Amino acid sequence: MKKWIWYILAVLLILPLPYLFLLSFAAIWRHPDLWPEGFAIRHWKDSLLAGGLAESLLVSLFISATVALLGMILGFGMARLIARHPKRVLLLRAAYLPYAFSSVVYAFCLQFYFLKTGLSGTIPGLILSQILIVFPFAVILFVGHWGTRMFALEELVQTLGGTVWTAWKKVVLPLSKPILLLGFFQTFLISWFDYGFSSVIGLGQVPTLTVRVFQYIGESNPYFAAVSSCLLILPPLILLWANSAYLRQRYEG
Amino acid sequence: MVLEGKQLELRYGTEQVLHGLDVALEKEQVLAILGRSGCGKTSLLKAIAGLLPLASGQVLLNGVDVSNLPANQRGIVYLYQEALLFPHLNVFENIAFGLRIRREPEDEIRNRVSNMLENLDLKSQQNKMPEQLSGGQKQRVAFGRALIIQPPVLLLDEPFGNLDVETRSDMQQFFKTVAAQFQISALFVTHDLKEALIMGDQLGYMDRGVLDVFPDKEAFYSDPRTGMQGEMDFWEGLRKDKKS
Amino acid sequence: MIKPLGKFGSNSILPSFSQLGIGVYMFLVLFPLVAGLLYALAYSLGLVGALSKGFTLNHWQVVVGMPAIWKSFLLSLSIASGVVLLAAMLALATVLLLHPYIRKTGSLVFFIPLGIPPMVAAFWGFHLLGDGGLLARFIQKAFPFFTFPELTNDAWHIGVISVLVLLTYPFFCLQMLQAYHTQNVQGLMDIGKSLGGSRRYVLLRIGLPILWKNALPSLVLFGVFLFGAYEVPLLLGRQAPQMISVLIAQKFKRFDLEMVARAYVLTVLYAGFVLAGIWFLFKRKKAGRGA
Repeated sequence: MKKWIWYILAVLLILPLPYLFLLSFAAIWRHPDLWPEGFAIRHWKDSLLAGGLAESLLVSLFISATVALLGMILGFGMARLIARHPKRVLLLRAAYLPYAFSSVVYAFCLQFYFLKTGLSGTIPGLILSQILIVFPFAVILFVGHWGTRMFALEELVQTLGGTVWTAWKKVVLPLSKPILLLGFFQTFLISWFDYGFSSVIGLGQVPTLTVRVFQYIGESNPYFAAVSSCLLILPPLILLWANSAYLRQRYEG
Repeated sequence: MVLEGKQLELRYGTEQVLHGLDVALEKEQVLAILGRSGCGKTSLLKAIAGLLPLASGQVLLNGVDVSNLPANQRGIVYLYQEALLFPHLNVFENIAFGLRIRREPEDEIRNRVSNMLENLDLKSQQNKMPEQLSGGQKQRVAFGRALIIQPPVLLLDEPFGNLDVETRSDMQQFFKTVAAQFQISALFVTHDLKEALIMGDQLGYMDRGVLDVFPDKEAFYSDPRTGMQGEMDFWEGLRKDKKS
Repeated sequence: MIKPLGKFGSNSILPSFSQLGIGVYMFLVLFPLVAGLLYALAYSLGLVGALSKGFTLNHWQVVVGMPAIWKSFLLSLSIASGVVLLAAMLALATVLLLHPYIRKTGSLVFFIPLGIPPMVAAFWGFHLLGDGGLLARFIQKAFPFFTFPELTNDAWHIGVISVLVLLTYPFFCLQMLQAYHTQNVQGLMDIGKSLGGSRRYVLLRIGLPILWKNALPSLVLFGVFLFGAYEVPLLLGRQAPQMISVLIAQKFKRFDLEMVARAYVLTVLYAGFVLAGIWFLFKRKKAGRGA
């Protein structure tokens, strides 16, 4: 009995993926049919080429990769600084605030300043706005990595004759590679999933994939919406597949 | 004198950690400093190593003022209570680390590391990663990594504090042998009375940022703060009890 | 143990660099939020904005006097706490009762929903639960005379709650699975059994409280996130009452400057709720540390 409950649960959790792929490749799927009438790559071709979805994919990839890279670098350096700061606890608490705020409401709060500076509706503006939530998140993620041991190793290299740069190149960065990668993936996904900032700060002029999904749903075009949904799900799935061995070890003991 | 600290002052905010402290270390001698936790031992070593900024005072190495040099240019190696081996490097590469920083030729590195591994009886462990070593072995690798760059002074901050009683005693003997072999000059801080007595050629006592170095062991025994008298009375009492 | 270096932290190397860094931190983390909220407050009080005629409490009086606003807050609070409780209960049951099966299939199953953006999850929710959706089609085939109930844009917010649970439940499962191993819950329950506890007793008195206590800070944090949920209620919620983020966004999007002022009042009120939630979270953490 329990085994079956688990199987049903697992299927429910996975079901969105096959369904969205099925819908995106369905030639036509009428109500109340349980299965589409034939398959075609028409919707993929039309949306990517004529519908501008290829551009959206590139825009989203560029924005998320930039946000993740900047968030990771800034967050890692700042976490080092905060880890040894006397007001560490207070500074870290502040980091929770922007992250806990609904991004759409936060975006409306900032809209005035972004409009004044001409950043609204631009890719740099959207990147900047997303960094405002990704950066504190990265600090929270990385600060635990900067324990006394890490600082002691850094100092040890210096007493052995290395400069700060040597310590980072030979010890700190090699030891931090896994957490940096994790940080990159997580910040990438925060940006990748974002709709609040994209819709408000982007003013609909920065066509990210989430904006496209919403647009296609509004236009009652489920096939294009399914294609863009599939594009949104693919990178997280690839990241998941790439990290599956590590994750299983972590969660299954 | 290989190392001299003159009127060392160290503050953290309003808290004074070192109070115009003087310290001097003769060549090829080990000065063991006894002190309770929080007395400023670690701060003293870190200030000498250049890892903490002094408010005032001078650190002289072989008569040269190094007070304004950064840690990596002083040539003074500071060893922690924990071996702190680089977890991503094997035993050989851990020991070779200081030589690689100095860009020594590869042959030279191979030779010197091999010699060091033999001296430390670690030859068979050279390809192991740190997590495969025992506590004592790790600490020996840490010594090897420090000794290979031939530092004029070693600063040892309770280096055996994390080891079990037996290993600790082995490591103390090991250090005595190595110190003689490599003609080491070292400051050795500990809160363990017996360890201070075993390790030190000279003995000092540190309390609240002030260091007293004793002219001889007798003076150390008779100072009530070291706890030596109480310790001797205890064992003497036991001996008497046994006799009666 | 290495001795803590913490107290020598900030002024050990290049103090000015450290201060500069903290300045950058505050500039990126707190400054935009504070500046945004100050602008919202000023706008709501008639001090700035295209229609500003000097200080007025008029917008606040109007907003505070509207029962629909409070319904909206109450709805957000109910949905957020309901989803957290439901997802947490399900996760507890899953981890405690289905643990051996999860081990066999692999915990990766839980990661798949975490890779779905809320916008896509809402789209999926619409296609699964809508009256022309998958579930409705299956039920109509199986029971032709059965009228399929409204599950999206419905009065009970079943669609919104279901999709938010789908997004939250796997996260709780993963967190509890991890705690199950790190806290050695299986070992502790075995000890309980060897001391004479029944299976039910050790589950309820050992497994459940350990996992619950461990998860509590995340539950509160998720509650705060879900309180401001936007995409899912935007697509699957009702026109009235709406969840608070949807209501605020809707007022901003009207081309009526009166509405914008009201939206800013709501923003300030919403910020108050979030701050209270975060304060509660840290108060608990502090109490937990002190104990």
